[in-house]
Order: sequence, then C-alpha cells, then structure tokens
Amino acid sequence: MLYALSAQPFNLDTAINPVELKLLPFKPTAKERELEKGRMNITRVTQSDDTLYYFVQGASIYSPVYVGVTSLDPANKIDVRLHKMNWKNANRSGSTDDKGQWSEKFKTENDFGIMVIPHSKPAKYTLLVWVGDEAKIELPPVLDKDKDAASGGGKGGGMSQSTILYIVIGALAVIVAFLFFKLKNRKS
Amino acid sequence: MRYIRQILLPVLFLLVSAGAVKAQPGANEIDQATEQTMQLLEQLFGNMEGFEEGVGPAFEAFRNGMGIVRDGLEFYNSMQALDENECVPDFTTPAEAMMPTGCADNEECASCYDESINRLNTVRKSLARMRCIYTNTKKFTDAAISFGDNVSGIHGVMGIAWQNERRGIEKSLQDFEKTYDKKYADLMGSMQTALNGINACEAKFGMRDWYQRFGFLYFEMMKEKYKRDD
Repeated sequence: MLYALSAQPFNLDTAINPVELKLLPFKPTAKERELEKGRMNITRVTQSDDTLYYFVQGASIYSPVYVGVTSLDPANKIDVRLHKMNWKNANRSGSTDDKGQWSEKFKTENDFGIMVIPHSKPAKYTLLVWVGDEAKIELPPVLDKDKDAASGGGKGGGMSQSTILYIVIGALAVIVAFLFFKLKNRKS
Repeated sequence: MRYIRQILLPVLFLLVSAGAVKAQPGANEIDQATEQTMQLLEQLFGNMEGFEEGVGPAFEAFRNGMGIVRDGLEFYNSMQALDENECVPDFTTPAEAMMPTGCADNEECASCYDESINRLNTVRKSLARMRCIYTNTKKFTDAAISFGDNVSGIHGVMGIAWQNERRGIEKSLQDFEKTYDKKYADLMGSMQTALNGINACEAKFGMRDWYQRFGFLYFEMMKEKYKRDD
C-alpha cells in the first residue's frame, strides 16, 4: 500500500524528540476475544520531564484505534493530548479520571502523536495503544438489479429477465381483467 | 607515568560520567512491552497477576472499553476520525453511474459474478483509501510548509536551515505523487479486469454488450474520480 510521507506530527523544534511506540501483533486465540485482534503497544513510563512526546505509525483508516493512559497514582492527574498534523494544535485532549484512567477511540490513517503532561513529577503511568484489524466494511453495491437497462440488443432486448417477467405478468393480469369484465357484461 | 595519567584519566572520567548519566535521578524511564508479554496477554484468562507493574490496570481498562463491543463493523462505524478535517473513504456512487444487471436473480450467474465482484470491491476500497492518503498528505505538506515559512521569517538563522528542509518536503511530495500515479494505473487496470469478468458473466446469463453499454461509463467515472488533478 501507499504510505504518506509524514511520520509524526510536524515540528521544527529540535527539543521535541518523540518516542515511537512500536505496535506488536496481538492475536488472542479465544473465540470470544476475536474483536481484540490487531496490533498493540504497552509502554510503562516514569516521567521526569514536564512533557513527553510519543508517536505511532501504521494505523489504517479502516481500523479502530484505542489509546489509553493509566496513572499508577490516581491522585496525580495526567493531561493527554492527541495530535495529527502538528504538535501545536491538539485534536483530542483530556485528563486521567479519579481511577487514574483516560482513553480515546478513533480512526485515522498511518500516524498520530501523543503528548503527555503529568501534574506532578516523577509520574508513573502506562500507555496502551491498540490498532484493531481492519473492519469488514460492506461496500454499497454498484450493480442495481432494479435499474432498467436502456434499450438495445441482447438476450433480453436490453432489459433484465426479471423486468421482462414483470411485464408479462402485468400484461396477463390486464387480459384476465378484460375477459372477466367482458363475461360479466355478457351475463347481465 | 605522565602518559598513563594522560590516557587513563580521560578514560576513567568517561566511565564515571557514563555511569552518572545512567544513574541520573531525573531521567525518564520508558519501557515498551515485549512480544513475550503480548503472547501472555493473548492467552490470558482470569486475573492479571504476574505482569509487570502497570500492565494489568492498563490492559483491564482496555478490555472494559471493549467489553460492550459485539460487532467489529459497528464498533468501527461508531468512531470519528481523529482530525475532523481528515479524509474518510467515500464509497457512494451517483445514481447515474449505477450499473444495471441482467442476471442478479440467476443463481448460476451469481456464482459466476463472485470473483469479479470481490475484485471490484477490493479495488474500490484501495482507491478510496489511496485518495484519502493523498489528500491528507497534501494537506499535511501544505500546513507544514506554511508553518515553516511563517516561523522562519521570525528567526533569521533558522530561515536558512528551513529552506533545505522545505526542499526536502517538496521532494518527498513529488516522489509520493509519482507513487500515487503508478498505483492508480495498477488499480485502474485491475478494475478493468473486474469489469471484463462481469461482462463475461452478463454475456452468458444476462445482457449482451454490457461493458460497452454500462461498464465503460462506470470505468470512466471512476478513472476521473481518482485521477490526481493537481
């Protein structure tokens, strides 16, 4: 497939050095866990810097994506921002809740960035990124059996067999109705 | 002795300073799970004991989020694109481009159709995705160049470095466009094969000259829709 030239949200700031979160295959064997199949990254972090930057590559617009942050100390809130185009404008943002958790689900193509800002340092947390297998999307059909074909040659004179059948049934119904009324009129 | 001191002291200094960097209390610790951890999670039943600190709660949160999901497609459809301006594949076909079929109700014809329809749908999915990748990349590049141009105007020294960077970005986009055009040609070729297959089935079970009358128009419409126009 074709891949975009970007590898992470754009920046010209040399102080920003994002860490790539590498996705590993994740294929649970149990039938009831079928929907968990995809690729996953779990990263345990002890953060001493004010802000850390991460990025993920290889998502597909046909796949669901989950990003979760779990703080080991729920009292220490952690702000999380998701970025697509650059590190300046966040596309999604939030903070860990009272249980120390924050998560988002979305779809995107190829790459995205994650910015993590704990309220106090050092902060211990776990990042979980999951990219599911591509959804089995049913495309709307482009062949329409009810669409009338234009006149022209062919086995059905350009019309589908079902259309011809409907015409024949219609014509027979008209004939039967005509005969019925004629007989009725003759009796009276 | 003087030489030994000259050689040994710097080496000793390097060793100590390297150790100091490693033991620095303020450094971040980033530990990505291995394939082995993934395999254990794949086979997981019951509790999360035995995993490294932090893995259990994060994985449980993930599974809780997935807990109510029963259908993969429904789950996917419920999601929004990360960037609201991000291109999402569009599979709609205008009514005038829909193609009639003379053998949809014929069982033999339906089995004849299968391979070609599958091929056609795969091509449609790939074209839609490729178009989105192109649109997003173009948008990303334009935004990056505009951002760089604005910032480099403020900082004079950075402006020179930015000009090199800018050329690199433009070159990458040109290479990407070439790849797009090549892939586009391949996919249109594959679509032609699929439509020829449908035509063969139609000739046998449904309509004669199906491709000339309908397939051709659809092919031309798709060719125009996905052609790179800039």
